[in-house]
Amino acid sequence: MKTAIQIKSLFILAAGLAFVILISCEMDHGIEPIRSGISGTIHYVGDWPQNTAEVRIVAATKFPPTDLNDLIIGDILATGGDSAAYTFYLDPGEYYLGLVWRKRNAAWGIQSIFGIYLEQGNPFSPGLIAVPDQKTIINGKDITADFAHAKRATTSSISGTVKFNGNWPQNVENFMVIASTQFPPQSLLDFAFSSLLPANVDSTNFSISAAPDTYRAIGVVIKIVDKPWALDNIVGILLKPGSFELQEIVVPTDTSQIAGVNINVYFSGQ
Amino acid sequence: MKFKYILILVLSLLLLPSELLFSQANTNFGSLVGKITDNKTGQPLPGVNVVLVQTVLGASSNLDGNFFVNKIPAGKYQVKATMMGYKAQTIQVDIQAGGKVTIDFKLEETAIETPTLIVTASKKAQSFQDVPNSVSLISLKEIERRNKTYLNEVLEYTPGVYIMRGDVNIRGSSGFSLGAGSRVLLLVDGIPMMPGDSGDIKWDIVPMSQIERVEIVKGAGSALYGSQALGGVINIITKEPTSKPTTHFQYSIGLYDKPYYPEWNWTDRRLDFNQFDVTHSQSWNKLSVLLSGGRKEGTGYQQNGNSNGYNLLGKIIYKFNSQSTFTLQSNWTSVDYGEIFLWRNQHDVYEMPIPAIGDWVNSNKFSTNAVFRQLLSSKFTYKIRTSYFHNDFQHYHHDNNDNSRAKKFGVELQADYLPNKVHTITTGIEGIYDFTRSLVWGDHESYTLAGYIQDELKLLKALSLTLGSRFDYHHVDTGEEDNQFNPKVGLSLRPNFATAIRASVGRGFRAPTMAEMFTETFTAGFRVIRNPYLKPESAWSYEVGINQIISEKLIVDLALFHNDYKNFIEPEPDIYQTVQFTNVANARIRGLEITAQGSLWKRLLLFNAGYTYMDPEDLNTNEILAYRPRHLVTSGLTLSYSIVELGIDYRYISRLEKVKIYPNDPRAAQNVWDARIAARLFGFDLAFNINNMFQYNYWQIERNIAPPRNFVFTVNREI
Repeated sequence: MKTAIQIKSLFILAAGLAFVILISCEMDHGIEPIRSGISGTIHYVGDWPQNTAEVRIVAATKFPPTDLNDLIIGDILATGGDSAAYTFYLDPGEYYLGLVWRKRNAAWGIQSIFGIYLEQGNPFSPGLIAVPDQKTIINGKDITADFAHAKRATTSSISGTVKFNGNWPQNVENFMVIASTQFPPQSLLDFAFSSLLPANVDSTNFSISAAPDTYRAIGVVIKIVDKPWALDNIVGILLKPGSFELQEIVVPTDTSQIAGVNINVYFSGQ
Repeated sequence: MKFKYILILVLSLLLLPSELLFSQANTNFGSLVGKITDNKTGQPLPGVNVVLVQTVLGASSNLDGNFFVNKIPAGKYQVKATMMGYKAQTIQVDIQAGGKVTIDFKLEETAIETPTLIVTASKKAQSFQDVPNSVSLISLKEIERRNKTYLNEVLEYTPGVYIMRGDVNIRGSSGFSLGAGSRVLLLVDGIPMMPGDSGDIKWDIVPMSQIERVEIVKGAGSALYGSQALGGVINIITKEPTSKPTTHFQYSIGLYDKPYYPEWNWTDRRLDFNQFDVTHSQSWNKLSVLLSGGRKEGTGYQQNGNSNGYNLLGKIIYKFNSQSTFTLQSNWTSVDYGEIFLWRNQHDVYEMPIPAIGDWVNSNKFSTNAVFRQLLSSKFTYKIRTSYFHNDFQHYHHDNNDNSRAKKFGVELQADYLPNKVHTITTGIEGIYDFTRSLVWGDHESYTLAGYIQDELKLLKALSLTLGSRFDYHHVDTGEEDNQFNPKVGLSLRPNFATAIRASVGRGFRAPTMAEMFTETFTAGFRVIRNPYLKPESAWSYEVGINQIISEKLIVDLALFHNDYKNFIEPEPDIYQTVQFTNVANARIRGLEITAQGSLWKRLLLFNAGYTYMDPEDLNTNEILAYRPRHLVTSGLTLSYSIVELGIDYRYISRLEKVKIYPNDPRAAQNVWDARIAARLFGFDLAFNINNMFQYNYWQIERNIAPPRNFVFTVNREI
């Protein structure tokens, strides 16, 4: 009897061991590290605000990102200093990179972007970086982040309608409405953006998530297929009624909803 | 003010001498004594429940297997002895006035460790097969087998139960609430043990070495327990003091393995943990005492993972006489631990964001509760309990210095009455007062007044019907108040010895916690904002099930469940990473659960398996509820031979289809294998466990990596 139990025990042990070995060979190991990504240096311009809670690096697969859900949220970076090296681990794909700032005891939003990776030599064109495979880190992608553009998140906005007159040019992929706090604008960070809007329409409504400020120029910019965004492609500007002067829009508070901003676009050929 | 009067009244009752309350003449009573042994080995069996059927009289056997029941009215009785792992045995006795009857039980071991008596489902002991809800039981043996530091780690092996970073889910009830509320009520010896501010479960309030068993009742339990018992109830039954002086030592040491992927290896330090517990218990005539102290410390497996904690526990039982018992239990826990909120990135999953390195928390809990029980006759018993729970914490974070100090007072009077052979009535009143002073959720007070009644009707020998209801009045100092009526109906049918059919319908509710209503903080980049207008959430639970003994060696249990939730309270992040608790949805979770346990070759091999399928749906969006998997699997094999026991356990949780914080992050199912070996050598109980032995990498909530493979060695010695 005792021998029988011993044999059974040995049998179970052997079967169990074989099972465990089989499982261990076949098994995947769940989540894996991301080995690919983008690295570079962040150069900070201006003094760190005293009320800085954190700075994060973010990526977007489309430009412009219109809310935080469009962003891949990366590392929280060390605060302080004039520059910092970064490595942002990302799966293969094409990305726009930016820096977001958060004020202490305040939320952050899409307005909080205060640094964008730009195309070489073009302060108005966001740079698209391709991560080709799961092993490659793309180096040397430096970003300049200017604390003058560091804003807290708000729910304020500018909204209205864009009316298109005439025939749309060929090869327009989409368009967006942009609002600049500077005129002439100095960099991409002077702008607030609407979401991407479909081309080839007669009119459409827009909304720009805009922090409290005075927006000195509001315009419509189109994107040509296979071309980067460029200010050369501004096709319409908000003007004072009956005038060729720029119409300023003031967003006074964090919750101001400025509506009824209507822009006319006249395509040539009309 | 009303509450204070009730408190004074109850305390006055507690202080009355039991003789004043016990006024019956002694002359019509007899007594019962006996010894309970294993029929094969002849060894005495401690902890066996002895009850006089159809009365509230009973006792437990002591370390020598002896039991004693006094003050039994003269008459004929069925005396039933039950213990997990043994066949129940019933003996008929005739008690004479002034006489003493001696009986001995020789219990036969069963092939399977089946549960016997359950105390949680009806706030009193009842046979497992008579409970109209699904119940899982974690035995002392199973707790020892798992060899874990905290109970939540053991619960992961229970069918239908899973953990989301400390939040326990029973059949998908809770999701993830950021530690600000639980839809599962935790009891310790039947007493609610949830802090008054956050309302979540503090798993370190009872050291593992003091747990005798754990009962898990699935489905809404508010008809007896009130708020928070929406998805189920977990009741920790703690160990009783021993009659002989006994000192127990336990020492555990654990070691974390290197991460599976070399990229994740973040330190050359040895990552380990250890804990030491010592318990002494002793009895003198009417007084029994248990004292326990322990220390836990560890480096953790992540950066910031260090922790250092102490706990003390004391339990005093004073038996005024065989009818009156007073129990006082206190527990203190203090721990400092590094805060871990989110990993740095998926290339450095064991490391913290740079600014968060060094964030830590000091947390203290103290609970004390007193219970006075008295048998007024063989048909009537009552108990009065008072409880106090203190919870405080202080954050030392780079982005906040949040703190909170919360006090919870509870008082309950419960009576059990058996007017005849048909009815068993359980009724009671309860008062709860919560008080909190906090930087996170402000200064607030709330109170709850409640009354409940339940009648278990024995309609036929094989058929029981349970009817119950509870009324709760809840008031918050902001002026919010609420009335809740929670009924339940349960049916249990035993057409034959091998089959137990159950069905139940019940309503549950949960009042929002202070944390959910009033939290205002920033942490790890998230802003949490208050919502003082949160309404209570409620649920109707429906369940049918069958428990079938296929043979002496195999038991199968099948349950179908359906829960309809209303005004579900969920944390809702917006596009600004601002989180607010809101009544988001009406939801439905339905599914089935099948469990099996058995043995082969004269208990040489024990096995168990459980599968739960869930269909959790947000009825507003028709999408799956966030943080709910569809499939849960648990299983285990144990091989026992001579002094050695070998085991392997497996649990699977399917990939979460929806999460809220980082929905773009990669997700994986949980596939975790554990192995264990235990032996008894030279009076020492030794155990060695390998957890997550195949180095499976997963998270329970986003950006929180679960532990890698780790090894735990434990030695126990009782003197």
